[in-house]
Amino acid sequence: MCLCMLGIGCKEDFSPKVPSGNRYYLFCIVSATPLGGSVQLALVDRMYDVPGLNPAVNKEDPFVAGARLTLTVRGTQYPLKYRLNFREDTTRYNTPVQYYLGSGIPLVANDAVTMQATLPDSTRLSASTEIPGFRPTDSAPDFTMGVTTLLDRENVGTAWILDWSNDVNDDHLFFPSLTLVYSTTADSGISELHSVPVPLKYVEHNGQWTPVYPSTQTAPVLSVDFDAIDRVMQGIGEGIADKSTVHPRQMTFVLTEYDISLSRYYNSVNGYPDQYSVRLDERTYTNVRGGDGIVGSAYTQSRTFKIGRLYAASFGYTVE
Amino acid sequence: MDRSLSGLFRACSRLVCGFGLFTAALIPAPGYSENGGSIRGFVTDSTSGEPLIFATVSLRGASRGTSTDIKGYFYIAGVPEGEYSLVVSLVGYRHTVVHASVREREITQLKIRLVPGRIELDELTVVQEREESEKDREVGLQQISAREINLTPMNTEADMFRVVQLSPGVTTTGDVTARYYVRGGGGDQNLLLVDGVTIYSPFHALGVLSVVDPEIISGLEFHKGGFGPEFGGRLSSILNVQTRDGNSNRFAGSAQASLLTGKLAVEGPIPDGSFLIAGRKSISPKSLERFLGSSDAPFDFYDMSFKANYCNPELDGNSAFSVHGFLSADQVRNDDPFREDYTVKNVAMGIDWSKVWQSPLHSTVRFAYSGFDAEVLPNFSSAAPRSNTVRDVTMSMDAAYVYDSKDELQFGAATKFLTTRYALENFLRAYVSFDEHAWDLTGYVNYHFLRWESFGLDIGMRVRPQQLATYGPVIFEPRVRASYAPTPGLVIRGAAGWYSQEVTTLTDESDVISVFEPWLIVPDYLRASEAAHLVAGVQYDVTEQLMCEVEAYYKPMINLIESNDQKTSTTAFDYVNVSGTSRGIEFSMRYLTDAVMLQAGYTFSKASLSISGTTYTPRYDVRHVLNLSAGVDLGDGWTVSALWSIRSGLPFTPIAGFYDRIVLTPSSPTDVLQPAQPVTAWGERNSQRLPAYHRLDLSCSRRIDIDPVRLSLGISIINVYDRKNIFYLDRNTGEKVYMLRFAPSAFVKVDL
Repeated sequence: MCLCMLGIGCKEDFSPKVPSGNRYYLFCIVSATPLGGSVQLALVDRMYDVPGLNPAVNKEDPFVAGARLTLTVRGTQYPLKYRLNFREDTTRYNTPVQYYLGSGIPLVANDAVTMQATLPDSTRLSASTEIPGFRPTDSAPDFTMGVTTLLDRENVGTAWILDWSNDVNDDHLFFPSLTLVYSTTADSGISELHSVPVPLKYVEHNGQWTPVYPSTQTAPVLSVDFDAIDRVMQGIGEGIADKSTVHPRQMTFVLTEYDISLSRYYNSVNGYPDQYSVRLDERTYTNVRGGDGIVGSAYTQSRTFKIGRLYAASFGYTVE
Repeated sequence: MDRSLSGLFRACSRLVCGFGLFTAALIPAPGYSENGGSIRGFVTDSTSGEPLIFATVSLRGASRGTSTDIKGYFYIAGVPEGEYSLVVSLVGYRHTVVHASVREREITQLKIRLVPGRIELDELTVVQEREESEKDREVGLQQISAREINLTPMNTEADMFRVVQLSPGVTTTGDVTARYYVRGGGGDQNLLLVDGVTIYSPFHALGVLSVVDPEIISGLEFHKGGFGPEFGGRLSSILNVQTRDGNSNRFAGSAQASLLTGKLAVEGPIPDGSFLIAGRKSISPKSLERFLGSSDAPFDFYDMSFKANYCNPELDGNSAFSVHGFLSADQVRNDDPFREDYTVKNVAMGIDWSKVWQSPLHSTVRFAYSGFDAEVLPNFSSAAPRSNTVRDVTMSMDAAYVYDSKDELQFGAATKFLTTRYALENFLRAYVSFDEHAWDLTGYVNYHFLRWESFGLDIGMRVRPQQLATYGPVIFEPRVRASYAPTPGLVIRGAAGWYSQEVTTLTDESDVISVFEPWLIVPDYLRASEAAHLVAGVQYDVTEQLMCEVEAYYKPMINLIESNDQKTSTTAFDYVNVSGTSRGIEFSMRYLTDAVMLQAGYTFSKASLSISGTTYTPRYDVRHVLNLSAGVDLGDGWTVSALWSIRSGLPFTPIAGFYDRIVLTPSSPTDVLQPAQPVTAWGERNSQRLPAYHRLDLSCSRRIDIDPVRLSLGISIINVYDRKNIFYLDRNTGEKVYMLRFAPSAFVKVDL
């Protein structure tokens, strides 16, 4: 028995790989905006192997050319066309970027979309998605006279709340963001447009105040500390002697909503339980029948808010 | 298989229940025999007054014997009137011969004190008179003394789980994690009782150490299967830890430091009793880095326990009261708002009243509380927030009545009030909260037929009129055990039983390391887990010191709980019921004298789980395991020990290939043309095996007595020949992550 165990112990021809057949991946995230019109990009890749365990050494683009892709929306099939484009990052692949393109497809909110791909070896891949709908967003305070933090904070609170919770789908992820758009006028009279992201808050870390920016979330609400807005407003005029040449124009709130499949894919790629736990074999989510990958959808909408004149003036800025 | 097996066992349970009632009707009413009397008592250490567990008590010339239980108590019934010599022996103590007069219809009560010391040559003749006790015949039971824990080579420092993991039939999935799997059961199917109180999170620092400091342990009973109806609530094993009472003769203290922890213990007499207070705290997170493979692991942990015992001979010399408590906590504080923190806490308390009645009845009434709190605080990191709370209040009564025929009737009842809460952000980042509140009522009866010299039979039943999660009618869990000793030293034994478990940890079996295991009463949408144990074995005591044992088992399980890999919407449940089967055969050999402990254990086992018609191998399934250990007391305070473990590789999911995964920008997720991330494409789940694991550990310690101080110094080397045992393959890179490499450690201990 001991000898048998020793024999087991000495056997060392270990490889974590097993030979496997073909496996294909379909990637397409369709999009829609309230303005309509869309360009849809899709990729079809194959699984590949490399010597060793580092897939980054692969130098052969796994893109599968010659596939027939269609998007079906409201009963109409739209074919996607094979395209080549210049590749900026040639670290791994030295060939042009290959992809499938669908343009002029009239996608709108709440559309049900089905993608089908027939590969040169007759493998068929398919998946469906439903584009999320428009979300009316409420603002508290409503800032009808423009964004300002010069408020009675005892009554109003200490944060700007943007809320789109009406009739939300719990399965969906949101990516909200808030941007301050402003311009500066140089001595030559030329104006330059700038934008800066507004963090949710600042937290103290190692004696320094560090911004916390929005990330993907399921909560249908965004809370932005007035203090964070003040810091951003303060920051745009730093280093400029004549503050009146700084012109805050607007705050832009952009909300991107992912459908259930894209939400699940995003979380399976980006989520983790904590920094110490180790979970093996965790699969990347797929909704592609006949293969792997993801066909999802996202809907992006935006809302702008003026900047309050008095508020801008409190920093020495002017609103044009 | 599931339903039919369940139905079969329910039918069997009714059958055995009926048989049990029939048997009970035949049992004479409890009373004193017309033929002879009884001897009972406690065996203690002469220097500290500590109860001595697992000591052998033999009646010279009367072919009668037993062993002390986990409280140092023994009872020998049906002894004909006369004068006797009672021989009491225990490894590490001098044999003691005590005179006992037995009178008709009387119980002779003894208090026996054993003197620590090595065996003398002329005492060897006494040893041969040892009789097999009923514990010797019990299937699936391993009794582990504190001495054995200290003689086992350590990872970081002596630890009870290290000893448990060496037991045949027990496997682990890594060197770091102390989570263990018994006979193909899951990691949450093992019950840890400390002085009868359930401990829900028994690990420090991701499993590097158990939360129970070995300094406070008097002994362990490790039931690997086929256990009696006095135990329940888990499918696979029971680890019953009895802590020390504290020195009742004098005040004493000890201080100990290793590379990992610092410890302090104080004990001594109180009026009509004794007390013990012990505490342990991690010294530096740095020392954990090599065990956790992380250069940034700000772990901090501590545990503390206390026990006070009281027995007033004037009030009631046969009653003993004990108050005991236990507290442990682990925390990670990163001092970084962009990294997560976590805390894990256990609080356990118990009050026991044990009484030896005038009749041959021995009882214990216990009130116990156990609390568990754990939380992952994500701060501003991307970690998923999780928290778990358990509140367990249990009241129980256990009693044993010994007939003059030597038969023993065990019976008891318990009620448990349990609240569990598990809140988390799930796979879809949706906030999910599982809140469960329940109580259960359990009774059991177990009749030991010990009247025959060579044949023993236990028929028992665990009856559960009120359950935590099943919400059914009365549930019967039959337990039957039998043993046959055709010749001295040879015991053939077997056991069968039905077991259920209504609490579960909601962890993924693929979590090779988890910060904590959240406990929960089985949610309404799932069925409680059940298992059958079928065990058969042979034990042969070649000599008093050398014991050989073979045991085989078969364990079908139904309604096990696993995470739902097929979850496709929030309305789908996070967890599903699966079924499983495990079987195996274990060989063990053990040579134990005062100076030498040699052990060898080999296990061949096979476990599988089935979900939706697909069968796969769980990650903890190990085909072959061989453990060889030796501990030698060289004299003059020198002790050396060695452990060599070899086992076939753990199952793993192989790499089928690689693919380029799109990288999503949260603000613009539609751009699939951004540079992709090359990642691993996995093959069939757990379909391949890692290379074999083997490792040699050595320990050496020296005890120096400088009155009044006893100084102990020790060093140990983990993985002496620096074997690269693969722990797992990194999910992102496929790279091998190794278990513990060559690592020396040291400790110093001062006893006053």
